[in-house]
Amino acid sequence: MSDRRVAPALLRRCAELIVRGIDAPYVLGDLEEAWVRDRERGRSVAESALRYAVNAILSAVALNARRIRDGRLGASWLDVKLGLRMLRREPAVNAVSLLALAIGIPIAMMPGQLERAFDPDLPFDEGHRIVGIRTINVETSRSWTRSLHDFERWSQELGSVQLLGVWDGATYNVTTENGSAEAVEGAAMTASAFEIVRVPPLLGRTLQADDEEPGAPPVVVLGYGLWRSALAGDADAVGRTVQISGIPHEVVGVMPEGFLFPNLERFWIPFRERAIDHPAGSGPTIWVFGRLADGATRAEANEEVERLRQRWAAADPAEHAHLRSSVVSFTHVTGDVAFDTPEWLAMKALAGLLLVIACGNVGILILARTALRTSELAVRTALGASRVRIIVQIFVETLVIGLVAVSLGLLLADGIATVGHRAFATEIPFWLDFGVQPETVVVALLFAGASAGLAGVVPALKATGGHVHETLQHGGRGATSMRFGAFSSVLIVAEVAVAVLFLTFGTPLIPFALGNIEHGAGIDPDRYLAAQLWHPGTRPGLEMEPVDDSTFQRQIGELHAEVSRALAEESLVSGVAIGSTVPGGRHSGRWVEVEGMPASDGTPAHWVRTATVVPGFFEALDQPPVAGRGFDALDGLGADSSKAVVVNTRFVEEVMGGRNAIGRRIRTVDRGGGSPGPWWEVVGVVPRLGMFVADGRLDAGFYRPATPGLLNPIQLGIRVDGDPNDFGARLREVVAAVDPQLQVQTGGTIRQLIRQQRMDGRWALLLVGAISLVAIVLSAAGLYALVGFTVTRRRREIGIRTALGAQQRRIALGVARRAVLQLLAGVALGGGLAVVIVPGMASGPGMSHVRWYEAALTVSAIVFAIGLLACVPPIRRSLTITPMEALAEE
Amino acid sequence: MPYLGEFEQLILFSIVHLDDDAFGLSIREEIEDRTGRTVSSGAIYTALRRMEERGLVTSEVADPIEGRVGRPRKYYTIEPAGARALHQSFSTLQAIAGGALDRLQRLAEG
Repeated sequence: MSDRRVAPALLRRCAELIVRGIDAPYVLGDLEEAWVRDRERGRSVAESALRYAVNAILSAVALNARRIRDGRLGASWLDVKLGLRMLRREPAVNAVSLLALAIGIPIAMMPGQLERAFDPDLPFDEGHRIVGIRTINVETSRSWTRSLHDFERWSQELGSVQLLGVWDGATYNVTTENGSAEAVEGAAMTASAFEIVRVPPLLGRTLQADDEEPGAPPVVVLGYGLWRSALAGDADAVGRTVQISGIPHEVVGVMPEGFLFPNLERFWIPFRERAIDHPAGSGPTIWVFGRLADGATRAEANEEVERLRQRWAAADPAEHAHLRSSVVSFTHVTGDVAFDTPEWLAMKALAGLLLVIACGNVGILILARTALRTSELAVRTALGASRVRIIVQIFVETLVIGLVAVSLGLLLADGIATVGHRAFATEIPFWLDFGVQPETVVVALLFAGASAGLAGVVPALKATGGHVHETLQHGGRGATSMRFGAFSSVLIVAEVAVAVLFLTFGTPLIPFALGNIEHGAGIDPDRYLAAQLWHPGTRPGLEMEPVDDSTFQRQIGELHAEVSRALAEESLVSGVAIGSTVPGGRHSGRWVEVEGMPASDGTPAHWVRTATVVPGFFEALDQPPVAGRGFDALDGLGADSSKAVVVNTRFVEEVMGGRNAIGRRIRTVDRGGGSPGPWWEVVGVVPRLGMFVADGRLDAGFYRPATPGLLNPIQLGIRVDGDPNDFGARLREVVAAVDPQLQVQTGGTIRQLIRQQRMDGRWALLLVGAISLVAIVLSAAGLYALVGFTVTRRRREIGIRTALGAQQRRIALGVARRAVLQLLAGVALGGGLAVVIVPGMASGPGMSHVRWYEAALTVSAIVFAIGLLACVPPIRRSLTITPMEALAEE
Repeated sequence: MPYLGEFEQLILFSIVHLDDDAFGLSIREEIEDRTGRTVSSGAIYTALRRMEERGLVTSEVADPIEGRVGRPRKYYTIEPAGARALHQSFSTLQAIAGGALDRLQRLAEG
């Protein structure tokens, strides 16, 4: 990230473009100096940018006020009025242009907006000066988070970053005095964090250094939301007690609404780890952050951190030689979002290409409209208007469209950001803001200007390039020397091809996103509550006895068994299925081979789904085996050595060709060349139980028995008499009674679980659909404009041919020939690209069933039909031309 | 003696306050701090150019300094003619307003 005391280059370039005049250098210098002063006074980047932009625009107007009044800048308010009048006169053409730009501009801006969203200033006092110190192990290129020893040394030796702090976050069980429990994100954090962010508490106090002393009473500072949900917003909350993973903590303070530092945390407990308690180079996972000292820059802090590292490495190479620490923006302390991958860059290029296509298409529509005004333009030229003047007028008219489209596009982008933020508010950091920012507005205005240039100036140059007297001689409505050249043909072909390509790519998403797939779970999806249960082990900030892995596994197994028994005693519960997943949930995939049975394409392996389940899983779902048996207790106890496997009916049909599966042997294989797994024997066949609800053809799968304690977390499918959602609170009470450290998360019913997963597919379908819609509308509009222009230009000829007895069919073919050829070329190109590129892009074992040729053919036919429909209105108009009307216009 | 407009008076008073540190940005900040009014740099330089043409102020371009991307500051000094014009314009305003401020306050309060 560049030094924030220098104005963004983009702002500076824009200012240089518009601030003109003899005093421009001094104004531009003042703008830069004002930026520096604003940032030093603590103004955020966004606010400083806004002040910069407003001052630049007002200064540009002031410096050129006289020229603007006299119209000597080339443009005038009259041009703007004419542009607004054009909007009203041709609503259809303008609607298409507005739609194209209003969708194209936000899509083109989206990559940049996402990048900026991940690099904001924190919303605190001088939030831009809160930084993180991130350490990388250069030998493994991975983050190094066991920096407790370094943190203590930095606290003593680092001068450019003051008030250093650390945090480690996790999910905890929080239980209140009345027994209600919920899983909550919290952080063990140093008291200095509250000094760093400079946010006072709403009630009580924040954490203090004394709270971090070994043996100090456990205390907690609650977030506003947790205070409301757990303590009903009690004004006397300070002094009350909540249990955090079973350990009582006294509430000492409540933070104000919206405070979720460092990411999503809703409560804070003291960080009590000491470097002295851990060998060098070890310790808990921590994230280090602080506030830049007054006057210090991030560059200076980085230099100091590196100097310290070199000194420490010289003294102790084993501990520091392989580590590199850097001072980064706080939002990057836990890692960088990869904005420099080839995939991201390709997406940016694609977004930009879409805008270029949209601008080009708008240019075609403007060209078609301008072509019908050539007589008017010729008369104006004859009366003394310069070519530049006319070009500026057409540019301003197009700019008006562009600015209206930008406004719509920004509203659309902000609306999408708001909806997205609400949908994912509980899953994204509080500082992540996808809303429209000042830089985005500047970029959008630039896009509007570029669009106006591309879509307005190019047609205007074409329209004003001919000789005045020739144009005046041609006369007549529609008579023009202008032609649609190769550029317009290429553009229309490209738009049609893009539409076919994107629609083909999106076809597999349609059944998943829109189909009624909940029935694919194989059970009644409304009778089961889906829940996840896990034991987190040691938690940051809590004093707990460490245990070895085998003891932990045994304890987990006992706890899970206890939970099962407790649930079985509940009167509303008639079955509990336990496994790595539940019907309708995400099942992982594996390549398997069946002894003596190759796959249909000749290869030995089949791609199938898999799950690990506790004995009794199928019975609890009321889906006993249809052949053989399920898993018994012996299978579960020695699961690692058990040879038993159960397959579903789809596996038998698809993989075994319907043959008897009992006694057959299967094993997993590694198609990357690794060793295959051990042979397992099929002991039973069960019905299909939602291993892949999106497409029943990919539902083939197998089950393995689970070893108690090895599954952590476990997924529960609880059959409940009544509404399963009503059992959620009771489930948490039952689990908390077994062990308050156990964490439980309910996902609603199985139906709700499936729908939640489908949201991913729906967002992807929305994006693909939006791009396809833009491409289809643009191509249809372009074809409409092309055919309409042809009809207008050849009106006299059509009238003569009609008078001479030409058949209407031949007239229609003649008018539409070029458009149909372009349409055919577009679907051929798009369909060809689809079958070549898309299978490679959407590759994966789960996509091998997709018949891309069929999809491309279907999509091509649909797009072709839509394109033909767009040509119908102007063709019909050509057939209504009477010879008398056409000749009378001469 | 030319009568100065309100904006011109604000600029000249700022130059008087700033003494030898009067350039576009400092003048703008002086006006904003003292009056709460937002003005653009372009408007200030345009007004100063007009006043310089009338001999009310003189300017001097200084060397570029850090933080201005190589662009210099332009410092302004009030000339005797400008001081006289400012004094007269402000005195004229004071003369017409003299003694009316209390009554103005009462009228404003209704």
